[in-house]
Amino acid sequence: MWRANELSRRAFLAASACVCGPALSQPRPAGRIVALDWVSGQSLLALGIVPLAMPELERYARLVVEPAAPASVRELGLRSEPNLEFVDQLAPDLIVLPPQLEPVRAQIDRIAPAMVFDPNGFGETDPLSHGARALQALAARLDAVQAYEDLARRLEMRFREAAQRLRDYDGRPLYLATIIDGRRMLVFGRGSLFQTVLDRLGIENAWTGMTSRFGHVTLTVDRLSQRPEARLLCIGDSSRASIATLLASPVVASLPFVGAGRIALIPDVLFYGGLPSAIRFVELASAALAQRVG
Amino acid sequence: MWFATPLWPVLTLAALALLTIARNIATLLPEGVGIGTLFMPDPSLPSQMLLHYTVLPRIVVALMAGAALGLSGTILQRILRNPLAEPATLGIASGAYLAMAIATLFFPAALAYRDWVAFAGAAAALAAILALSWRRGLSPVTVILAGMIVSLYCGAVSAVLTLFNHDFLVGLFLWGAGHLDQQDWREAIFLAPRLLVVGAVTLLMLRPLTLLALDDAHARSLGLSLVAWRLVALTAAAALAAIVTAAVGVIGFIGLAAPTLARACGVRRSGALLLWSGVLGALLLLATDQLVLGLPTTYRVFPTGAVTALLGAPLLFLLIRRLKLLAPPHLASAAPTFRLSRPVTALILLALLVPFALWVVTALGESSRGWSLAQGNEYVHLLSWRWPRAIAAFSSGAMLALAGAIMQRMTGNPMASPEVLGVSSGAVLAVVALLLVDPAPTRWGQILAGSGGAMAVLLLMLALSRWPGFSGERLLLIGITLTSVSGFVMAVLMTAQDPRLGQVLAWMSGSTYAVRPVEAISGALLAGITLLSVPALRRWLDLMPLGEPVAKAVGVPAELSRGVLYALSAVLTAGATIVVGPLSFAGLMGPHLARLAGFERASMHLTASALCGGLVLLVADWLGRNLIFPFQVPAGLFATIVGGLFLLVLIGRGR
Repeated sequence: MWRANELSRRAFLAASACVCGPALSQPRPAGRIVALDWVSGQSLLALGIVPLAMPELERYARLVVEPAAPASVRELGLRSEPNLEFVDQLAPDLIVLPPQLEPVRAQIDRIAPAMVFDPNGFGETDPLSHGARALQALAARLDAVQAYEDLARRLEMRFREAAQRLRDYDGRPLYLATIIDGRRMLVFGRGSLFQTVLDRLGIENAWTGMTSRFGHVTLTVDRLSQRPEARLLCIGDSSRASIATLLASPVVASLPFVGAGRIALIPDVLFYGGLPSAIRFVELASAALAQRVG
Repeated sequence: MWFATPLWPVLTLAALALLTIARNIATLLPEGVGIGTLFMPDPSLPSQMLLHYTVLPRIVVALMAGAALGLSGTILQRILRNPLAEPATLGIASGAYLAMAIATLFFPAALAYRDWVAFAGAAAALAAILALSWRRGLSPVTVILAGMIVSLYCGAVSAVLTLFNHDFLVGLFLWGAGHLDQQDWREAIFLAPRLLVVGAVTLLMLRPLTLLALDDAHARSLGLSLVAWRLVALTAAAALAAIVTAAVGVIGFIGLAAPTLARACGVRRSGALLLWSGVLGALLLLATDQLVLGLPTTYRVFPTGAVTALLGAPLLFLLIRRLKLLAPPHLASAAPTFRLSRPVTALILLALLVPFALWVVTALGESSRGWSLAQGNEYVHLLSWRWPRAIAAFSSGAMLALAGAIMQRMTGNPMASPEVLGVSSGAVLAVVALLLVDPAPTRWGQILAGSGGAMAVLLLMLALSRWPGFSGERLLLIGITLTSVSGFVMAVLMTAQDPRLGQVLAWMSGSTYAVRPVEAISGALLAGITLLSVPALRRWLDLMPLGEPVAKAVGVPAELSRGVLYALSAVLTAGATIVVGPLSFAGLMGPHLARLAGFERASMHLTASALCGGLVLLVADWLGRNLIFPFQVPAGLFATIVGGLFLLVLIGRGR
C-alpha cells in the first residue's frame, strides 16, 4: 500500500489507457488486496491497483470490459460465492467486498481487514456523486487519492468532450434500454447511473415512469409507443441479437422513430459500476449519438 | 345439488374476465375511434396497432393456454390416480426450460426457432420418463416417480447453468416466469391448430380415461389394453402442456388448480371433468391475465403465471374441503421385493461410514496449490474452514431425509417430500421479503426471516389440520400451492435484474457456503435429537402405510399421530432450510435410497434414510467444493444431479 503514492502517476496513465484502449503497461500491485466482486475489482483497477484475485474473470472481460484485468489476477469463483478458503490462502492485507456479501462477513473478517465498497447506494437519487464519494473513500484507504482525483478529472474531461460532440443534438428524448429477448427490455430511468449521466449531458430520458430501487424496470417493447418522437439507445451486446425480433413486432415497426432509424447500439457497460462505468458510458453513448445525429 | 357443476366459479370468473377486458380496451381505445379498429388497425397509428397486436392476441392466447393446461392436468390426475399430478409432474416445464437454457447459452442461433427448442426439450423429458417406466407397464407410481426425478433433474441442471450464467439468461427468466404479453399474432397462430388436434385426440379417450382411473385389475378385466392407453393418454396430456409451454413459457398452477376446482365442485364423470377443467382453466388464466393487464403500471411487470398462483391459492383453499380425494397410490405396490436379511448389521456399517466420510471431506481437497491431503497444523487450519460446512451438510441431509421418510410413510405417497409441506416455501418467501426491505441483510437477518417464515407456515398448517376436513393430502395440496407461489415470487425476482440475485440463487440451491459453526452445531443437535425419537414413533410409522382403516383398527390414534408426525417433519424441514436453504432433494432421495437398499421396517428405514440423506449431501458438498475449484457448486444442486442420475438408473432397472 505504501507504494500507491509513488505509483499513482504511472497507475493513472495505465488506468486511463484502459479506459480509452488496451493497456500500455501493467501497473504493479499496491499491497495485497482481494476484490470479492466486479464493482470493487473494476474500481481498484481504475485506481491503478491490481487486485490479487477477483471473481468470474472471463465474464468480467465480456460484460465490464474496462479497465481490463491483467493476467496476474487470480480467479475466485462465482461472484455469489467467492471462494473464501482460497482468499485465506492468498493471505491478503485487505479485502474489498460488496454489501451483498454481508452474510459471510464473519468468515471474511477472520482472514484480513475488510472494507465494504458500495458505489451505488441503491435508493440514492444521484448514483454518480454517491459513487464518487465511495470511490474517494476507497482511494483514501489505499493511499491513492491522487489516482482518484485524476479519475474524477478524466470523467469531467469526458463530459466536456461529449458536450462538444453533442452540441448539435436535436433535443429528442432518449430511451435507454437493454433489449432482453426482442419482446421485453430493461429500461433505465430515475435512480440509475445512466440517468445522472443523461442529466449532465442535458438529454431528457424518455422513460419517466417508475423504476426499481436499482434504477431500472423490465417493460414490454410496445411501451416504446408512449413517446413516438423519441430515440432509442440499446445497451449491451445481448441487444444486438434481439433487435431483429424487436423490429419485427408490428407495434414497434409502426413507430415513427423505427422508420426514421433513430436507434443506436453500444456495447455492455456495468450499470452498477460507479465512476469507471460512468466514464465508459459517457464515451460510448456520446460517440454513438453523435454519429446518429450527425 | 348446486355444486354438482362448477357453475358459480365459472360464472364469477367469466364476469370478472369480461369486466376487466372491457375496462382494459376502453382505457386503451383512443377517443372517437370505433371498436372496429380492434380488428382493422391503421398501421400508421401505434395506438390502434397496440390494441390489435397486443391486447387481442393476449386474450386468445390466455384462453387457449388455460384450457389446454386444464385438460392436461385432468388427464394426468385421472391416469396417474394422484390428485397432486399436473403437467409439471411429467417434467414438461423443466425439460423445456433446460432446452431453452442450453440453446440460449450454447446455440443462440437456435433461438430463432424458440417454440421448437422448448417443445423438443419437453418431448425429451417425456421420452425419458416413458422409457424409465416402460418396464413397469407405465404404472402410475413409477411414472410419477420417474417424472418427479426427471423434473428435479432438469431443474437442477438448469439451476447450475443459471448460477454460472445468470447474466446472460434474463430472457429465459422472463420466459420461465409465465408472461402472457404478446407483440403479434404469432403465438396464437402457433397454438390454435396444434391444440385443436391434440384436443380432438383427448375426446377419443373419454371411455378409456374413466377406466384408467380405476385400479389395474378392474381396467384390465374390462378389456382395456393398459399400457397402450396409458401411452396415448400420457402423450396427449404432455403434448397439450408442451405446446403451451413452447408458445408462452412456464405457466404453473392452472394444470393443478383447474381439475382440482372442478372436482371440488362435485364433477365426477370423465367427460364432464374434462369439459369443466378446460373451461375453468381458460377462464382462470384469462381473468388473471386481464387483471394483471389492468393493474397500474407499477405492478404490470408481474408475470401472469405468478399472479395466477396468488389468486388460485385462496380459491383452492376455500374449496379444498369439498374435495373428494382419489385413493392415493400405496407405497406397498411399489415396494421392492428385495429385503435385507440383517438390517441391523447393515445399519451399523452405514453409521461407521459417517466419521470416515467426515474425515475425508475435511482433509482431502483442492487448494491454491492443487490437491492435497492435509495433515498436522495445516489440517487444523483447513478444518476451521471445512468442518462447519461438512457438519451442516450432513445434518441437513439427515434432517431432510428423516422428514421425507416420515412423510412418505405417513401419506403412503411416494411423491411426498419435504418441500410439499410448504415450510421451506414459507422460508423462501420471508427471505425474499427481507431482501425487498433491506438492501444488504446479514446472516442473522436471513436466519431470523427464514425461521419466521417457516414457523408461520408450520403454525398455519397445524391450525388448519385441527379443522375438520383439512387433513393428509389436502394439507399437502396447500403446501404445494405455497411452493408454486414461492416459485413464482422467485421468478419475478429473477427477472428484476436485482444485483443480489446471485446470492439468492446460491442460497436457493442448497449451499453450505455461509454456514457458521453455531448453525452447524444447532443443525447437528436437532438431527441427533429427532433420530433418538425414532424408536418412539416406529409403531405408528409401521402401520400407517397400510392405510388409515388398518391403522385405526389396531389402535393408532389417527388425529394425534398425524399431528405429531406432521409437526416433526415440518420442524426438521425448517431446521434444514434455515441451515442450507430450501433445496430438499435429499429429503426425497434419502428415503428412496434406504428403501431400495432393503431397509423395510420403520425404525430401520428412518435411521437408514437419515444416514443416506446425510451422506449424500456430505459427499455432494465435497464434490461441489472441489471439482471445479475455485468455483463451487452448491451441495443441494450437486446432490440432485448425482443422486438424481442414480435414482433414475434404479427406477429404469425396474427395482
